[in-house]
Amino acid sequence: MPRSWITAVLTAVTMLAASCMKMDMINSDPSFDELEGRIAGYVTDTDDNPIEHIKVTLDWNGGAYQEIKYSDSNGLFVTDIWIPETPEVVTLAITIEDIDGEENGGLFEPLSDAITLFENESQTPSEPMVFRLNRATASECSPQS
Amino acid sequence: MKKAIAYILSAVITILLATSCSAGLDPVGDLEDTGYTIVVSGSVADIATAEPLENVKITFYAAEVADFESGTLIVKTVYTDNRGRFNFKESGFEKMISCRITAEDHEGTYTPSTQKLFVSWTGPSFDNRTGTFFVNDLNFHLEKK
Repeated sequence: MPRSWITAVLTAVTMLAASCMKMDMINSDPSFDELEGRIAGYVTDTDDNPIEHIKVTLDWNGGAYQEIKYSDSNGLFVTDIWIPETPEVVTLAITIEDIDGEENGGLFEPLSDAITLFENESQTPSEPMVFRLNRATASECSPQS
Repeated sequence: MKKAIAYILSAVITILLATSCSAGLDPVGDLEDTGYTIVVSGSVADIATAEPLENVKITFYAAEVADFESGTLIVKTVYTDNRGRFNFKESGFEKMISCRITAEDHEGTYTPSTQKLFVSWTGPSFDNRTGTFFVNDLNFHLEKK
């Protein structure tokens, strides 16, 4: 087979392989919707209206690792599951606080919850959690930044 | 003549491989019922100290560019976590979009910053299989007033 043919075919194949590899790298980025290895939650009022800018403190294994998230305009927060070196049991304490007072729908009472993940069980809740906050009066809660 | 045949053959092979590659040629033709999706991730830090900034409001504005007519304005708000990171996803787009992403701290300590994007649902950042456009490392470095 003439060398010019081989060169032309190899060049074309190489260029295509390079573009496909680049797309594979992009495709390997985890999908935002995938909950595997992640915990997601919605913060809403008692009428299921999303509440924005709620501070969500996530304490793993009694404070060994802490993350602070804020609910977005859909009331959603997402965090990766933290896996310690000895992942037999992982506990997560969730503290939810309204830090902006009357902004974003009013003043809401804080809420706390806890999750325990065992090594042999599914590491991801089947659906995003929903945290419904009760409205508070100004005398009950003071906003914290 | 032989060189011309060689180049034609390489072009045919290129086209055949392209149709099996996830890169795709015409994303508009692959539009799913849910439309296109944009996934954006980045961080916010102090420009002087490189310290990550928590609780910075990230506002995403997007308008579809449709024959010079004003499109529906999509607005989404997220906040940076305790490591200065943010990410969000917005779906349902059917046409090219013009985006503006603004970072501002609600305490007014830093000067807000804005970055602009134009998304045509093509290029190496676009995953044709899922109709998703990835914007990574959209980082802001805010300056104190």
